Amino acid sequence: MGAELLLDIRDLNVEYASSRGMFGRRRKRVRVLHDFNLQIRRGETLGIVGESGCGKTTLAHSIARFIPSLRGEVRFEGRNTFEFDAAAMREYRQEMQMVYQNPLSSLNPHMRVAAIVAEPLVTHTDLDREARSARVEALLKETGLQAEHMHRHPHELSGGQAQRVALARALALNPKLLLLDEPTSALDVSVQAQILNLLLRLQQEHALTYIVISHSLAVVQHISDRIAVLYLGEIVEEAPRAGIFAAPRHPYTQALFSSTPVADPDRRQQRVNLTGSVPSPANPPSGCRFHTRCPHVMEVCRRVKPAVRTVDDGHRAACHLLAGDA
Amino acid sequence: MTRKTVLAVDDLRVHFPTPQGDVHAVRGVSFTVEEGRIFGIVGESGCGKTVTGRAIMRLVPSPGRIVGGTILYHNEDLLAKSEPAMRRLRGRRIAMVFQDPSAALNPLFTVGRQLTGIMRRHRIATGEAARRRAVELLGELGLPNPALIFDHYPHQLSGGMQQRVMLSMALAAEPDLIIADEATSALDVTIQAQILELLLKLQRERGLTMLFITHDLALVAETCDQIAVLYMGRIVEEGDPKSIFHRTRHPYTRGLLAALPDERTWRKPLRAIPGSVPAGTATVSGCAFAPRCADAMDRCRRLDPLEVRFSDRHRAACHLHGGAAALGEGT
Repeated sequence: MGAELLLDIRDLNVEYASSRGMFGRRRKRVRVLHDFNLQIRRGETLGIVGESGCGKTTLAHSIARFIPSLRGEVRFEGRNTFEFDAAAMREYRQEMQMVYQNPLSSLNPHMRVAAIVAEPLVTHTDLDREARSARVEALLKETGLQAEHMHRHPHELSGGQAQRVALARALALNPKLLLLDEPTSALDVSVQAQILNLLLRLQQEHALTYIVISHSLAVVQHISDRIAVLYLGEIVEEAPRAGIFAAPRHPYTQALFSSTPVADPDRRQQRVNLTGSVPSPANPPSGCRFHTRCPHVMEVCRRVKPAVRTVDDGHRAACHLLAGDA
Repeated sequence: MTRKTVLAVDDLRVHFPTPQGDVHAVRGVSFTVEEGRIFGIVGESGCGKTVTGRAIMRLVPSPGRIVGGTILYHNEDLLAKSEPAMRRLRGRRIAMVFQDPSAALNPLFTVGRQLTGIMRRHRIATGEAARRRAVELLGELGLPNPALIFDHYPHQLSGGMQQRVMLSMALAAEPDLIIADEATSALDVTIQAQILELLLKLQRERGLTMLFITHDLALVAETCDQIAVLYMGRIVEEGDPKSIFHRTRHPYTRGLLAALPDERTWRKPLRAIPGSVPAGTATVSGCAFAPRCADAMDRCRRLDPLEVRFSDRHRAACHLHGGAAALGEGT
């Protein structure tokens, strides 16, 4: 796939301030993303997996430019989004859309479906009322909703229907990039399948680029062309889908994959069991951030941060085991 | 080898009155759980799996009521017991673990105080003995520095640690049945794997019997000895994991399995079950799954399907397998 870059994240660093101690006198900075590099090509689907606290939602919010960065760039079609003026930002907000896990909390409960989907058209276009309602109707139809749903409030919809509304709204301004943050996690299996099918169809019809953030390996495996595995604010491994599932190279990826249950009793997994839990990002371990839980930990891992190495075509991992420099 | 039956639920029915009429949350659920087994109840939201678990504890949330059936625990009828007798059973003989540990732990007391409180209440141990036992238990559950954690408040612990503490509380009175309702669903997979490993170890070492309630098909495939699939308040299929996953008999179970994404489905359309679960108060005539079933026949919409047995551990309630003949269908 030689397609051009749509999004290019370079050395991105994001920090939050957390107040520690009584009355917040000692301000502490928590580095949530650390020298983060990631490229997304036009038309591809990048899956991002990782456990709580790995920085996946912060990454999405950085791409969406909801939060400032400490250092680094997020380039969209070659332009650094951090240097956007108001007009460029307005344009970027049309080309990049976000869809959240729980549509019932991301849709305005006081508005009816038609108004929710029309809202971006009101803000960003000069379509008249008639043209808008025609567009809303077309969008709802495209996402598998009927005219009867137009006059309902979000709480009158099922979870699957509400997620369809969120997608219809996200598509209203013909975006190029959709950021999907746990798009099916709140849904039952049978409904999840409907939404995944819809996502794939919409992507084809609109030549969309997807970034899918999910804790569900099954979902990411189903939908992604490429997968990045995050641990404590860093990418530990990144590869084409088939390669990473066939031969995960980083011990964390191996543990993550083998910990995920499989719906087949003949394949009860040989788990790589990790001990302990994810350390706090406020106080990340020295050297390799995974060394406190790694079953293969060596002396060097405690001291030296492993470099990112290319192990196969487009397959990169950051682990001392891959270097022989132990 | 025949095992002792720990729990026998027969024709359990639970209704929730609403202004629009009664919602039939559980519509005649029957199953038995043998000693030392992990029995899985799996289903989508609203299928009645949580209410079933709570009914066994006699903790159906108000205004719900158990309107029929029997629940035998070691041959004692739980539905006939007085409330004080039930209270002595809860936590002591039957313990429950929930999805959200922060809601089950008291934020005002230390872990140790809550643990020793349970032991004192159920006359397991008091004073220094209780403290020793509590620290031991926390250690057995794989918590690092158990003596330190004993003095921690719940908010000082991570989600995985809280879940372990809740498990230790469930185990504190040495119950012989644990009802785990989505006990690992809120956890990250690597932490979930640790907790599952622990549960399986407890099952092996203590002969613990468990009712494992979840929406996650992969999870029941990996952990359970016997699995019941619930749809709209009824068990549509029950069997051992191999029967459920490889010799699937009910169209709903088949639909659920076909809808699961995995490495073989990459970017292909999944076979989603059409439609969605109807809202609660609708009266069900015939098979509840018929409106969404691709194989539905005329009689499915009229007659309740009878249960058909395929082996001593595998059954399904579906007209496709001829159950209706026994009903004398001749109309």
